[in-house]
Amino acid sequence: MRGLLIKDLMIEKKLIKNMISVLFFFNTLAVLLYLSFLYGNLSELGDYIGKDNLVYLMAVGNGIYISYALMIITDIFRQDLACDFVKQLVSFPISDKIRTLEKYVLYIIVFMINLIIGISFLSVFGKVAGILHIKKAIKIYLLIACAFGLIDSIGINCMYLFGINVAKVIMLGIIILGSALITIVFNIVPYEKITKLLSVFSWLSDKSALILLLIFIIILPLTYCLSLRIVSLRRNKVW
Amino acid sequence: MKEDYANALEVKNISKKYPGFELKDINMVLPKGCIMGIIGENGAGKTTTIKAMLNIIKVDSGSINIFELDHIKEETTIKENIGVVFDEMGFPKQFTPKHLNKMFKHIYKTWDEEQFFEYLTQFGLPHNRKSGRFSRGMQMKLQIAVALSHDAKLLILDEPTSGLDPIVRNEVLDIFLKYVENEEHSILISSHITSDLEKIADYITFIDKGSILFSDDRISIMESFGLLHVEKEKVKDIDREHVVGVRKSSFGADVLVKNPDKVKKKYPDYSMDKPNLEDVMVFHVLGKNADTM
Repeated sequence: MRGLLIKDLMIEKKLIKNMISVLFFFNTLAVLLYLSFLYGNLSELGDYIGKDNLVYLMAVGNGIYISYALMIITDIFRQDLACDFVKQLVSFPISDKIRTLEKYVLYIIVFMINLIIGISFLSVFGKVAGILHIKKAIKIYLLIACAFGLIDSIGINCMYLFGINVAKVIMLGIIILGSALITIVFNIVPYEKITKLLSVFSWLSDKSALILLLIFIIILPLTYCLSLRIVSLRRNKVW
Repeated sequence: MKEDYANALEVKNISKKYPGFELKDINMVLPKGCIMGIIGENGAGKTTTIKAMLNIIKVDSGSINIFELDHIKEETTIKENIGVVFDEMGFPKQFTPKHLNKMFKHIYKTWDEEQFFEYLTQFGLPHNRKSGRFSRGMQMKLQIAVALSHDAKLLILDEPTSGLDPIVRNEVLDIFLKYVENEEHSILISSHITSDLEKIADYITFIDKGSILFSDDRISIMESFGLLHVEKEKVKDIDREHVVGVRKSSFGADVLVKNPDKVKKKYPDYSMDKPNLEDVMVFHVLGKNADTM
């Protein structure tokens, strides 16, 4: 597996570097914005939107950048297909289990890089700025990350099952449908009922991030098993 | 893996049915230290047979043993000891040979870094240039260098010389001949370029429409056929029992016959040449076609 991981990391070096730079840039920008709210010309704006609420923006932003993980996996699939590496791979002493697992390990590596950078920035920033609700922001970040993780694990399955192009369409469909559903619900259902509904599910309560993380931890191995099954059944399609 | 195996490859009665195509009772044996060439038309079943050997497709019946090991149960051990070279390079195009070395030293337990760079130098391949910028011949040599650098005992080559110019083709064939100087090494090569196989193959297997027409040592095959040159209208006179195939031209007809010694005695007036492998293949595919003679 190490050989394949090294190969994929060498190929995706640029995209991973890009992701890290974007994360650093985004978080630094948020910190600078906070400082402007405190001491600079933007203090009025800071008072208006609540400067401590900036950590939520940081949490949401960092969470959205988790999408880089699937982007990197998609790019690997595309490049492997383009250079016929999938054909070459069947001649290597690597079992289907390992070659499938490697993609998941790569996904987790990128996911963890994002998580470590995001949480580090949020924690350090929260502590230095003395923001009390930083834990809540980290939970929102984890919540978004795990939601992406769940969608991405389905995405990896789709890539194995239908190929990258169809998988992209399906993922886009999921996002559009999800957004449309939320918009429709918010427009049709009265606001009070939505808040009541959300409070029933307690998505933003203390344990919601952990529950979603747990679901993600359970679902990811299941999707791996499904991917492995697809890889084993489609062996003859590689060449 | 045991060292004292007699046959590098044994294919016994393998069959595989697809809609519109069937691989029927394929049998072949490649003794250790030898080169076997697989010939046949496009779609005859050469690549399907190789796919079955690499366990890419599951066969309906029969068995395949490589180094006397079951090709499914011992797949990883077998693949650790074989090198596969395709007609097109399948490495990431942005990788230089140095990158490939980094990757392969973690893929093959027996990867020999020093040997790899020695091969690169020997084949005149730059260490730091992206492989996508290599010419076709260089890409083929790079694949061969990779296949040879993990001490592969068996090379499986699918159309390795197609699309190469004659000089590079000869260089590649020389590499193969040098490789089999070590008696532990064997090669299975599928090729359309029969002249290449004539130069290097010890054994020839001819697959046609999913079945093996013959699989024997090259010299026996070449000696068991003769190419008779006759006038067009005399073709009918030749005993059809001996005729393998007929090719007519404006100057006369060429007839590929079995048992050339008998035929020569029977028809002393006609001149007879030794056919080459291409003739053997083409005439078998053309068939007797006697009614149109």
